[in-house]
Amino acid sequence: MKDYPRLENNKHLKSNPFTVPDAYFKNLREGLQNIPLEHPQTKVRFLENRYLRMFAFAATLVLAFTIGWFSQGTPSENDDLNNENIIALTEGGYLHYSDYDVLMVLDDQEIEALINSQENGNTDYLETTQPDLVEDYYLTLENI
Amino acid sequence: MHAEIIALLQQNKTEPAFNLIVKSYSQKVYWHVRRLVLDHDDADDVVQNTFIKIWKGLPNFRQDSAIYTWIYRIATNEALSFLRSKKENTRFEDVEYSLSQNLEADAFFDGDAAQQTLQAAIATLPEKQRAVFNLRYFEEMSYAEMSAVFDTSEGALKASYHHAVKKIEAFLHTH
Repeated sequence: MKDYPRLENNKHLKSNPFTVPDAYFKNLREGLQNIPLEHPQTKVRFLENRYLRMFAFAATLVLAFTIGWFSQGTPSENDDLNNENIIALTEGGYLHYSDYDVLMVLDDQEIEALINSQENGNTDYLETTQPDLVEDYYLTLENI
Repeated sequence: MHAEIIALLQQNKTEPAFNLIVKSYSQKVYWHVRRLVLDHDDADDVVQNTFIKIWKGLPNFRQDSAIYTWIYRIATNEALSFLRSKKENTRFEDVEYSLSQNLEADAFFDGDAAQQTLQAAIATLPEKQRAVFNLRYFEEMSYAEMSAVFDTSEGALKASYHHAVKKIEAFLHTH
């Protein structure tokens, strides 16, 4: 039978085989004693987790992108809502007129013209009701 | 030392009390943790986390228990939690055994073959039994103190230690 060391009262096996770098315990003590000074008791450990850090970074990017996206090209509340702004907003898809809104600002003659234009397959209301205005508009464009 | 720390805590002098704890126990805590996690860098991380928890818990420390066993309880829990998280993040099934096998190449391990085999044998124990064995065998902590550390009866700890010794001796016999 192989002779094997007994555990109890074996000074060699009980001795410490591990070592540490030079001056480790001095540095450890100094580092630990600075914990209260550097980190108050309410130390937030939320962002110590790598995945939470990545999530926070991604969420910040999405938030910044979203704010940028919705703020670009829309007039602020202080801008005058003149005709040009309304046209720009309508063309940009920011404003939508319902049939009710259109009918409320038209007189009977204009409504009749509008209905006739749609029946004739012409969907451009201005072209039907005010062709001169449309022509003037196109003449002001430089590329034409 | 315990009385001095308690006196500082009773005067709400938390920071001097903490500094005294660091001065008195940092080295002991390090060796206890090192014997559980084996690697120096891992032990360093665990010790720092342990003392952060001690600092945070100090205002709520129940002064009817010994600060010595309270500190060991935190350190043991931190080390075992670290080993569990390391197991979850590694492909090796037996982290402790692979760590013990790496000791030969470890710059901070001066043990001979017998001591290395002993560490490999200890690594085969279940984690709590390993902590019980280390505290009793290397640090010669009394069962009464260990009972406070592990919140387990002295009888159960004696049985656990006895089984650990038998397992380790059997391992040494076959390796």
